[in-house]
Amino acid sequence: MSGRVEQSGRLRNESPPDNAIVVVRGGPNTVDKIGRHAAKTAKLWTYEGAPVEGISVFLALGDSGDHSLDSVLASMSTYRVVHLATVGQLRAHGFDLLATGRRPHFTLRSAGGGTLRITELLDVLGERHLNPHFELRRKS
Amino acid sequence: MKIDLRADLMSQDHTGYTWSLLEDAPDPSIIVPGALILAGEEGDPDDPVAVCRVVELEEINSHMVVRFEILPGDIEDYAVLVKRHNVNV
Repeated sequence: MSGRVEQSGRLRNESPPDNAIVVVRGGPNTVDKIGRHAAKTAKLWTYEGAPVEGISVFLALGDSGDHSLDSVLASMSTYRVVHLATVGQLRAHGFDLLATGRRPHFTLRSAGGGTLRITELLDVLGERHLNPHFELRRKS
Repeated sequence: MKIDLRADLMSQDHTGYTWSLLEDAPDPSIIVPGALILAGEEGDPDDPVAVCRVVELEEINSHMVVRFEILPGDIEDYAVLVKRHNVNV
């Protein structure tokens, strides 16, 4: 049996630019679901010794190719709605991103760790956007 | 739609696979490597759901982590395939 997995040795050496777009899941009961997923991550992961209360997001890191916004939205075609923000907006409101998983995946958390401030996060994320690839998936 | 494993379909760990916890499966007995399952969220028609293949299970911090890959297409596509080939299930 093992304890939580420390992530510091597993992170990619990558700090995304402020103008990169962060794509966050949308949909019904977003607050509850984000909270549940953040709690689930905290059960398994630590970063610098503290549980990671964060959620998975994908970043649009380029104008074309696999990491463009269109490609990221295509990879999230099971989501009808999403929220979009820039990395800079999130940082300005006290959130940060750990380069977990495979590029362009990141874990979004409150800066420095601790409880994920979900209501404030949703305020920063603002309105929902329809994912055009959701309908394309249904028609394909 | 009733799902086999409640999961955030965006979640990903160092393996690159999507993951959830076995405790989020209504029937954990079907969550075995190679099994095709329906994973995602339920409660609203807009909730994300996908056909997935279980890759592996690993115990971490007293929780059984389920790693899976999201397969292309919707469950209706698989139903069409089964029907076309008269597969008895």
